[in-house]
Amino acid sequence: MTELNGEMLAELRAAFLTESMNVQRYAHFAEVAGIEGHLALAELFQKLCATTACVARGHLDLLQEVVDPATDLPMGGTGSNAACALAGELDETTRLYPRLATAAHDTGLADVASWFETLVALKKAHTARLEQALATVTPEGEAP
Amino acid sequence: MITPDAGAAPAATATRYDASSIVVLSDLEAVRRNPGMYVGSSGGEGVHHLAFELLDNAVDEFAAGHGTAVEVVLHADGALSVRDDGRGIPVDPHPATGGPTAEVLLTTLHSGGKFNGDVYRTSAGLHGVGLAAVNALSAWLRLDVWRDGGHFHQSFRQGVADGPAQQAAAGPDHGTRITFLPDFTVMAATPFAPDVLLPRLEEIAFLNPGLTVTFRDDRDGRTETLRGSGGVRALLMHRYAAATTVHAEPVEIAREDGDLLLTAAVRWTEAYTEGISAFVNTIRTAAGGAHVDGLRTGLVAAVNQHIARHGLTDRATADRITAMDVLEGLTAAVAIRMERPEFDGQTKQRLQSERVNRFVAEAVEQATLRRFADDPELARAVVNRILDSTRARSAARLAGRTARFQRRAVDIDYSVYQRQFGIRSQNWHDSCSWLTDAELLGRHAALCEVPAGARMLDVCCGSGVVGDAFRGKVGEMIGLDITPEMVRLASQRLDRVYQGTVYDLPFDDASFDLVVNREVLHLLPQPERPLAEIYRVLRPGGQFIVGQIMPYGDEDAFWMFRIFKKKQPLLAQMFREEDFRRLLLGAGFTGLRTDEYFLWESIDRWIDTHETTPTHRRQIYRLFYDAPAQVRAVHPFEVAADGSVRDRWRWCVYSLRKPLA
Repeated sequence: MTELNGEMLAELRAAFLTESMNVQRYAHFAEVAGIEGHLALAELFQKLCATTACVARGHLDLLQEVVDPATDLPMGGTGSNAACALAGELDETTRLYPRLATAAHDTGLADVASWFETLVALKKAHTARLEQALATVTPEGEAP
Repeated sequence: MITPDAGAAPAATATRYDASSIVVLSDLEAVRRNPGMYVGSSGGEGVHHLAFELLDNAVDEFAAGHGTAVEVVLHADGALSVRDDGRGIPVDPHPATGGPTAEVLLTTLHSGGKFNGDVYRTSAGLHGVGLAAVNALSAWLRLDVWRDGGHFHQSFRQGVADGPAQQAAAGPDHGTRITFLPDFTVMAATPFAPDVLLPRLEEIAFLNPGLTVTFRDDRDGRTETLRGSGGVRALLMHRYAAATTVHAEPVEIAREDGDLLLTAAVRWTEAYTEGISAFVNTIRTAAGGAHVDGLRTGLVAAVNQHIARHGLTDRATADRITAMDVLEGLTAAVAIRMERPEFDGQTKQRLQSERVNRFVAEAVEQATLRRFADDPELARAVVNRILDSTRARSAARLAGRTARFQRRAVDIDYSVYQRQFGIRSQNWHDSCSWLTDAELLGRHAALCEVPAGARMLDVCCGSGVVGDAFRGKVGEMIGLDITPEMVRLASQRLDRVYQGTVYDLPFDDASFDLVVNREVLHLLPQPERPLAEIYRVLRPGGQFIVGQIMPYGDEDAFWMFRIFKKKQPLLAQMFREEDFRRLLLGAGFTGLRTDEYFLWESIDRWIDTHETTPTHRRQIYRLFYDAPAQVRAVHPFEVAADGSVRDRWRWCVYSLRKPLA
């Protein structure tokens, strides 16, 4: 079988991002529709949300054979997955959110900056938990 | 067309209710394995649902035209019994099993008269899982039936009969009594609570004119007799008796078409939250559904038509009235009776029916427009109330923008703060518990260490309660607030109150011995600047006391940000404890002392304010209901059976000093 790589891999990663985003968009749309009393639409959005989540996971089924789309690290078993999760959270706590918080402050978006700052703290907590958890997992390929 | 209180006892359904109308379908063990699927949850809600299921069956007998009374007894041993004076559950041999029909009903899922649409025209119970599910989830259950001149009784344990049914001759009595104790090995060990049972009994009494509901609590001898005659209107007036209303008399809606029978009453209040009590065949539908949807649609259509027809919008509100504005402060009771209603799931939380939606929307729209035409004064009051909501929502949106500013040239629109807190000053002390919580105020005052006769400034003083808490510990009490309404309020408590901004305090350097401030700095962009001003007006050695609500840790700060930002769009930052401490020390203060105080705040009350839009209010509830496990692990809060929320707020109160040199 031909390997999944090159342009198709890039396209699949993009599609995975799109569908993951759709899950959150539909969940939000469903909530608002419910609040505004459009019950039939709320239900439709909920269904779309559930199905789309299943689609996104299908994309991930394919991607996980090749690479973790978030970190470019190998993923698959729990050992590698925990390492991917840690790498992702670490990047978010040390690079992504501090940078966004600074940028928001610089542009005068005080509330947005504060939001990012709460996330730096959150991701820091996640990183600590993942580090602890990772210590208990035997890396793949090694005898337990 | 019928009037809402026209309901005398319904006419008897002319059908046979005996063994031949019961259909046997399936088995019980599944119920014990998964109670949530059958009664909504295995928690306290599910335990009460067992009682409601029996009640609904008793009410069904009344609705079918048999009996006039339902008696609920909470026994000393924690068991509960429900008795009606209806026909009595059939006890003749069941054609499918040969055993008594009552035993089949109590031991076989999906065996009930309600599968066969003829016996009960509009039934309430759970499509027949009812009795069998209750029995399966009971440690023990005793059934008494009086019928056809006999008294029949049988006992069960965890859904299984102890032995064959006993029968004795008796008088002409008729009816059913079921006494049971929930099985706390499969359900949460929650005892029956009168404050959960009684509101439901009230609803039953109001919605079933002619039925007498009695409640007796053998544990304390309390008895209540509930007899309603006013239908949905009386229920609405009773349930929202404490509300400040926009108009005295509710708008009433009644319509019948085929099997559909609608009664509804609506009234707008000065509160911000919407309160709708909705029922299908007298069962409360907590999650609403087609009838509630139709009610909302109909009201929005009627109000918009009325506004358009009379040209009532001004430039500020034209084209911007939304459904949420119409529904703000709305209280309503809506009851529909219908054949074969369809629901989401077994516990009837939400009605699904497109035809009910259309039927209710049309009835509500027409009745409301007619009432507006007949009563121009009422129409005027309602429309003004709605236009007020539209204006407040615009103000909230503006406030969201104000939280943003240019870093170098701070350009804050003070008028937005004035508008926000000006409106809120109308009911300032009712707007949440923390404002006047004596213990919290005391914690601030307890930190005070200034010489007698000290000069105090309460900055952003609101109504002046914080400054007032220092009475007796200081000499002169000065206040400052940006909102003229608040200045007036605070003047009743403090010696002198100035109107002004904390970004530019109208006081000389080193002119105060003590500055106090509570729960304000999170609303101010660039809080370093107000802190620098406070530092400036303090004399060297002077004390600064400041209180703020803080997250419990790293894992709930982001969640609290979302909630607080939705509650108050002016929020500029959600401080974490360590950030806040750093900010205070960074301003030059020293000698930090901290006190921590936990206070249970009613979220329902806290968000019942103009600064929180209706959509945000619902989203705040969702944030509590769906809070991630990691948030729940660090941040305590409680959701009651009726969906109301209490949050345990962590208050931190700080004392600092301006250094002497």
